[in-house]
Amino acid sequence: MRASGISRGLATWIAGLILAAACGGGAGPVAATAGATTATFSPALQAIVDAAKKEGQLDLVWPGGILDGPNELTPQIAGYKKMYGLGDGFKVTFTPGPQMPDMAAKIVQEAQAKQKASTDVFLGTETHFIVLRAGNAVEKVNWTSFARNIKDPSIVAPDGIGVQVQSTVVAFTYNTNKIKGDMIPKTLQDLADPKYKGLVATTSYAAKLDRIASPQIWGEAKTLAWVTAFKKNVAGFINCGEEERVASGEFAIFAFDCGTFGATRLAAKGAPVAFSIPSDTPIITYYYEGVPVNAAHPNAAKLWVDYLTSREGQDLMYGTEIADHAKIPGSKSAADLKAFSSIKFTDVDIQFVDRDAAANVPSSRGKIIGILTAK
Amino acid sequence: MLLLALVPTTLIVALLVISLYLSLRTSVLDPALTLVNYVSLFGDPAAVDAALNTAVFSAIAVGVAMAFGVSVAWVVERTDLAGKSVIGALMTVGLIVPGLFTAMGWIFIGHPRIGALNTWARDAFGATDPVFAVTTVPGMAFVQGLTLAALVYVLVAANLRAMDTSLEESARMSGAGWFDVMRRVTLPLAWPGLLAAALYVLTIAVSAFDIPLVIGVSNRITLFSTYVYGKAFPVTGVPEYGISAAFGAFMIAFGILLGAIYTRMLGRARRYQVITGKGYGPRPVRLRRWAFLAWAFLGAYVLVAQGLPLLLVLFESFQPFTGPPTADSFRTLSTGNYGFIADQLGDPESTIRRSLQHTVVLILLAPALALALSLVISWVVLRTRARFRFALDFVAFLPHAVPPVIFALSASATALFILAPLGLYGSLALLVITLGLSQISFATRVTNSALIQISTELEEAAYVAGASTLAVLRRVLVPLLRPAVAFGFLWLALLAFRELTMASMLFSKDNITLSQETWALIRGGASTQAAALSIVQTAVLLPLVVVYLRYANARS
Repeated sequence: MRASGISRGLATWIAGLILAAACGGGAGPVAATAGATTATFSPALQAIVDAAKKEGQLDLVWPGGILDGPNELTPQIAGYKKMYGLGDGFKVTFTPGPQMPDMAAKIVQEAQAKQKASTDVFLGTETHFIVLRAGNAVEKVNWTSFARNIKDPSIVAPDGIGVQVQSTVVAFTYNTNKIKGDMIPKTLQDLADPKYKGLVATTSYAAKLDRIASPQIWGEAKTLAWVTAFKKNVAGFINCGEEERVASGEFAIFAFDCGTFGATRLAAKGAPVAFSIPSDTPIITYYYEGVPVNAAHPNAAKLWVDYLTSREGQDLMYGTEIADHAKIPGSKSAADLKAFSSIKFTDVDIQFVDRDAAANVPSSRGKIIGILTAK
Repeated sequence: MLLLALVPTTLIVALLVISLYLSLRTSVLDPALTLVNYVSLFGDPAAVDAALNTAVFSAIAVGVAMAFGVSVAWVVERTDLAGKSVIGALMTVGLIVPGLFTAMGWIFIGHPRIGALNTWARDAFGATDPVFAVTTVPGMAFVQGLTLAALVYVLVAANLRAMDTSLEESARMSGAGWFDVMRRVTLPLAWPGLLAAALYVLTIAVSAFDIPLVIGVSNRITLFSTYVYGKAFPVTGVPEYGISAAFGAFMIAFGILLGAIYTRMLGRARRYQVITGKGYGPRPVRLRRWAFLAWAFLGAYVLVAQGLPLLLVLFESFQPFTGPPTADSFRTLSTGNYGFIADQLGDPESTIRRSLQHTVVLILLAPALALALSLVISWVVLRTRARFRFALDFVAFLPHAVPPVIFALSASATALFILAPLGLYGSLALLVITLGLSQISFATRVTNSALIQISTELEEAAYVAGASTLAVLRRVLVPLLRPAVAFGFLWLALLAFRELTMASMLFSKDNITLSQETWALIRGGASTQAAALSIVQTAVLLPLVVVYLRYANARS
C-alpha cells in the first residue's frame, strides 16, 4: 500500500479546497463599481441612507428565475449603490431561495419565533403578501414619505406592506411545436376541453385560479366547476419560472403561467414557446417587494425597493425580464400592452383581495387546490 | 470519554424525541399536547397515498438494486473476466453521481412524452403507449434502484471476496454445474450478507429525496420524503411541523425496526462468513465463452445506469434551454452555460461561489466531526466495560435508519424555536452538525471494524508505561487507525458533497450548498446551467474519486 503517496495526494486536494474556500471568503471587493453620489436627499431619505450605510449590507433571497438575471441584478446592484452613495464596500448578496409560497411561510415562521428574517426583501404577489400581513411578518412602511422614486401611491400596497415593482399579464405559455392552429387555447374555458387531456401543467398552488373564483371575475361556483373539468386535463404540476419544461415538450401548455415574461424570455433564446392571453379572464398581476419585520438590514432593503422603481432599475429589469411596471412613467411594458388595447384587463392586486374580504367572500384557494391535487 | 460519547448520542436521541414531541403539538408555539396530527395524518388521503407509493417504490428500488448490484459483484469478484477491475471502478464512480443528475438525465430518456426511448419507439414502431415511463412510481423506483445498485455492489463485493470457496470447489468436484453451485452453495452462504445489504439500501430507498423531488412532484407522485418536505414548506399557510413529525414517528419506528434487523443480520452474516487466507485463495469461476455475455451485461448496465444519464446531462449543458436531443438541437450547441459558471465563480458575492465555499466547509467538517465522535463512541463500546455501551452503539446506528428529512426537520425546529438564542438557525454550523450527526452511523461502522482489528496489547503496554487515556488515543490508536479513518473520511466527504435533503430543509443564504444551488437553478428554469454546474462538479469530484479508488485498492 502506497499510503504515503495517497496521503500526500489527499492532503494536497484538501489544501486546494481550503485555499478555494479561503480565496472566496470574507467581504471581498464587489464586482460592480459604484462611486459615491453627489445627489442631495430629503432629510427623511438621508436618514434612511445613513442607517443603510451603518447596516453595510443587503441580503436578497427569493426564488430563482425571476428578477435575478446576472445581466439584470449586477448592474442594478451597482446602480443601487451609486444612487444612494453607499460606496464600494457595501455588500449585496442574492441567493435563490424556495418558491414564493414556501418563502412566505418561512418568513412568517421566523417572525413567530422572533428570529432574523431569511431575507431583507421579500418578493411575491398579492397572495404571498396577504400571508405575511396575516402573520404580522411584514413591516408597514410610509414609502412616499421618504422615497425618491416611489411617488405614485397606487403602486403602494395598503398600509405600505409592499410596493409593486413589476406588472405582468397572466396567460397560457404553450409549446409552439406541439400546440398549433385551433389547438391554441383562447379562453380559460377552452382548457376544460378534453382535447387537452394530458397536455397541461399548472401550479400545485393554483396560482391566480383563486382570483378567478372571486365574484369580481367568475365567482366560486363557475370556477370550481371549471377546475373540476380542467383537472382531468392536467398532466402535472410545475412552478412559476419553470416554463423551460414547456419549451422541452415535457408539458405542452402551462396554465396559468405566472406572467408572460417567462415565455417571452425563452422565445428570445429561440425556444419554441409563445403565450396566449385568455380573452374570458384577462388579468394583470403585480410582483411586490416589501421588508420583513425582522429583516437584518431594513433600511438598505427600503432603499432597494425604492431603487427598483426608478427608471434605471425598471429599464434594467425590462432588459432581462422583458417586463417592467406598466404604471411607472416611461414603462416599456405599457408600450407592449398597447398591442392588446382591445382587451379589458382586471387588476389583481392586494386591493382586489381586500375587496373580497370586505364583502366577506371566503377564499376558494383551498377548495381549488383540493380539487387539483386530489387523485 | 464516556461523557464525550454521550454528547452525540444524546443529541441524536434528542432530535428524535423532539420530532416525536412536535408530532403531539398543533403548533410549535402552542404548548398543549394533542393527537390531532395523527388524526389528520390518517385522514389525509395524500399521506396514505405517499405511504403506499413509498412502499412500492422502496420494494422495486431494492429489487432492482439487488438484481444489478449482486450480479455485477459476482461477475467482478468471482469470475476470471478480463478487465473486470474497470467495472469495479465505474461502480464506485456511480456512487458519487448526485441523484439530481440521474433524475434529470432520465427525464430525457424515459419521459412518456419527451423521453428518447419513447420517442424512438413511437417513430420506429408507431407505439402509442410509452415503453418505459419514468414518471410513474415503478419508473422512478427503477431509476433509484439503478443508482443504489452501485452501493449494493460495494457492500456485497466485500462479502463475496471474503467468502471461502472451498465448499464451492467441493461441489464442483462432486460434478455440480455452476448454476447448481450458485443455487445450492454460493447463495445460501451469502444470503445473510445479501439480506443485510438489502436492508441497508431499503433504509435509503424509504427516505429517497432527490429523484422523487425532481421526477415525482411535477407528476403528482408524492413519496414519504416529498410529503414531509411539502408539509414543512407548504403552498399555503405556515409549516405543518406536527403532521410531518407524526408521519416521521412511524418512519422512526420503522427505521428502528430495520436497524435492529440489520444489526441482527450483520451478526449472522459474520457467523456465516469464513475469512479466506491460511493458504487457501479463492478460485475464480472460468467464464470461457460466457465472457462475451458477461461483458454485454456489464456494459449494458454501465451504459444505462450511468453513461446515458451523464451523456444527456453533458448534452444539456451545451444548450441554451432544455430539450430532448434532436438534429436541430445540435445546431444550438454553445459553451454559454460554462461561461456563466466561470463568471459566477469569479464573482465573490455570487451564489455559486458562496455555495462552493459552503460545500468545501461542509465536506471537510461534517465527516471530521462524525469520525471524531465515532472514534470516541467506538472506543467506549469496544474498549470499556461501561454499562449501556451497546445502547450507545445502537443509537449511533439510528441516523442511518431514520430518514434524513426527519433529522433535518427536528434540527430546524429546534434551532428556530428551542435554541433560538444560540443563533444556529440558518447557519452553516447547523448544517455541519446535523449532517455530522447523521453520518455517525456510517462512521462508527468504520471505526468499530478498525478498532476490532487492533490488539489491545499495544494500548495496555502504553498504560503500563504511564500514558493517559488521551495519550493512548493520540499516540497509539490514532496512528494505527489513520488508514481506516482516511478511507471513512473520503467516503463521507463524497456523500456530503451530494447531500440535498438536509441542505434543502435547513437552507439559508449562509449555508447554501452546490447541490442546493443546482436544484435552485433547475427550479428557476435554468436547467441547462444546472447541467453545466453538475458537469463541473463531477470534474471537481474526480480527484477525490481517484484518491478513493487508490485507497480502496490499496486496502483490498
